[in-house]
Amino acid sequence: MGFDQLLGGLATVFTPEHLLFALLGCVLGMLVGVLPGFGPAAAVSLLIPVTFGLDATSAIIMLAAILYGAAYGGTTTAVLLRIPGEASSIATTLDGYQMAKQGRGGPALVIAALASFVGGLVGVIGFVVVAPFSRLALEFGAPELFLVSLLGFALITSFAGSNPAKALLSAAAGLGIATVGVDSGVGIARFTFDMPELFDGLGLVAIVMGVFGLSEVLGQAQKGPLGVPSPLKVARLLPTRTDLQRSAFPSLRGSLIGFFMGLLPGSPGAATSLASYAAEKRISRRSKEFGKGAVEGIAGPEAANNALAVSSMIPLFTLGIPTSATVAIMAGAFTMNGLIPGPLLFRDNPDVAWAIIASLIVGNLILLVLNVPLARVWIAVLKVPFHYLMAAILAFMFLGTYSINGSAFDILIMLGAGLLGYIFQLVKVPLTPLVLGLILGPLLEENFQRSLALSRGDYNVFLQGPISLTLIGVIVLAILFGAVRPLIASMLKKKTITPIAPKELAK
Amino acid sequence: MQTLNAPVALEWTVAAAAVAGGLTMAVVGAGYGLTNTSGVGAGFFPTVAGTLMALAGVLWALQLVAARRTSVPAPVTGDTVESLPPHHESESALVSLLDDDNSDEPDSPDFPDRQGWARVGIISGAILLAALLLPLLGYTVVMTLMLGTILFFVSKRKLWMAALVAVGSALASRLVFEVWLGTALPTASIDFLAGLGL
Repeated sequence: MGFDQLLGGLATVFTPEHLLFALLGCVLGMLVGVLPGFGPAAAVSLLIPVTFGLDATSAIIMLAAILYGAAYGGTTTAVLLRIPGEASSIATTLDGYQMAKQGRGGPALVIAALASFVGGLVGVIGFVVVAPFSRLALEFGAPELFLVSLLGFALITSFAGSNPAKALLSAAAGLGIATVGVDSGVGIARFTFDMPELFDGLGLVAIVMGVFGLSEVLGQAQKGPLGVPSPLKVARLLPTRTDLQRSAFPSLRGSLIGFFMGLLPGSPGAATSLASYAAEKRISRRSKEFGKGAVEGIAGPEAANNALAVSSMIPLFTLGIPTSATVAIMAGAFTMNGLIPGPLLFRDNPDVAWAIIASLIVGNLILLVLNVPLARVWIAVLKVPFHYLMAAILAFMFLGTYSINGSAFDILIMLGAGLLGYIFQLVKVPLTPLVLGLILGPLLEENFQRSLALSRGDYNVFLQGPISLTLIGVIVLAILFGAVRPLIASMLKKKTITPIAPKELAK
Repeated sequence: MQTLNAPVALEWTVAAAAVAGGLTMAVVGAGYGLTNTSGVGAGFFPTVAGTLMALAGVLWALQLVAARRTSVPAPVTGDTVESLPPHHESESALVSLLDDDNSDEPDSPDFPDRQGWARVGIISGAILLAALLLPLLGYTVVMTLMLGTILFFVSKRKLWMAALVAVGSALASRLVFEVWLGTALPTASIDFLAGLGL
């Protein structure tokens, strides 16, 4: 097992420099995460430029900390303002806000942080157990890697959004964008219009910053001035012993649900945390307290959410396949820092790989300490009129995009991607498949070309061996399941949904 | 004849653009060569991507036609009461996992009215002009103009306040990036501005 390597990773992280970057990442991530609409994907894409100039290990540690910080920031506003900073905090809003209304905002935040820590810890332990299996992936040849990439793609497209046609459009657009530039196989310039800036393709950071960051700013700005509801007070900080006892098992159960769901490509955090909430409500002897301030309703979903955040990294580390928008952006960050995500990472850069895994524990520990003391600071940030925040974010995006290559051309790409993301959001086209298409496109193409080059153009290369056949079977199942999923969900929903009462929704 | 409301018209426009764009990509992509001696040519993936995009556009258009036949017109949403996004709390963990409303996608913004489109246009235009003028006017002037425009026209701040915040932000960000982060920001290529250190 990799626990020795994990200890080695912890030793690497426990240097003043790495701890400082982890701390900085946590604070910056929380700062962006509290802004409504800015979830981990937007936060990481927005803040990638901050890591330019750092060594690879520090950069990834900081980005991982930004990711967790953004998730914690979303929890803070979910509890105190009933504004989920991201979709996966919705479940926390249900009971967290009710606790805050009863003057127990402090305990709600502490329980959320403790449960998140438990979730993160369970996730890392699972990570350590699973990591050695990445050696098996080293046996994969180009055909298997192509099929694994295709599987990731099929699963994401099947699970993203409510409309398979729109998800397919988004994925195809991502694939199409990924083909811009000089082809790696033959060396032909594709869709470059003789512009040297396009020879290396469209920059990933500029695109994700536009798709997730600028589109969100445009979406908020179109509404005009927005008010922020008065936050509830944090008041007494520490939870009671009963709170801790009541949240212990939900935290563990949530962690397990989150961990296993994170291993499945495409399982969204919001669905997983709501599934944990539903499970706790069903199991609990106090199910009538749910929705009125039950600590179990915070502990389960928060643990599930964080365990999922860790375990969703496992496919990236073991197979090199990102399974969500956030992990895809992290994959891009790996590549930018000269690291190849996947089994080769453990073989070629084991120190870096284990330091990053260890930093997941450290990041969660830092956030556990910072979460409550900084809650008041984040609420103060939200009191700044959005138009000033917007100006600051736009200035940062402008500068950050420019600093990628020292080129104004990247700003134009960011703008184009932002407008595309904004229009896609208006017509409810999911954005995740686009980013995954962008990241997985080159992997698909490279392994497809290599497979056919090895087989001298014989397509049977994809049908040889039990691994390939199994993968093809799972791909077909994923596509079929994606097609019928909305039907199954709507049939089940009719029977079981308890809608949130309209009077509870309206401010 | 039933007229389209603005959100549905936009859906039609994007679906049509997907078909047109996808077909163009497929045709241009095929021109790069679908095969070569080593198996697959440079045009194979662009053709696949373009075809899938066009196919998705056609499927979407068919859905819109079906919806037009069966549904009542959807109300146009303007600025609405702030509410939680449409995620559901279900009694069943399984439903929670399968439910489309529980995706991690950002929630769709309300469909903009004319003023909303104007705000989006001003911000986009300001960024576009700033990027194009950056090599000519340099970072400080461009950032001041971009932020000033957005704060004055979109945020409706008073002119002096917009100018003050814009100048302050431009200078502060220049200080942070150049002095602390060591990133060289572009200066103006116009002699007069360059002489002023801008």
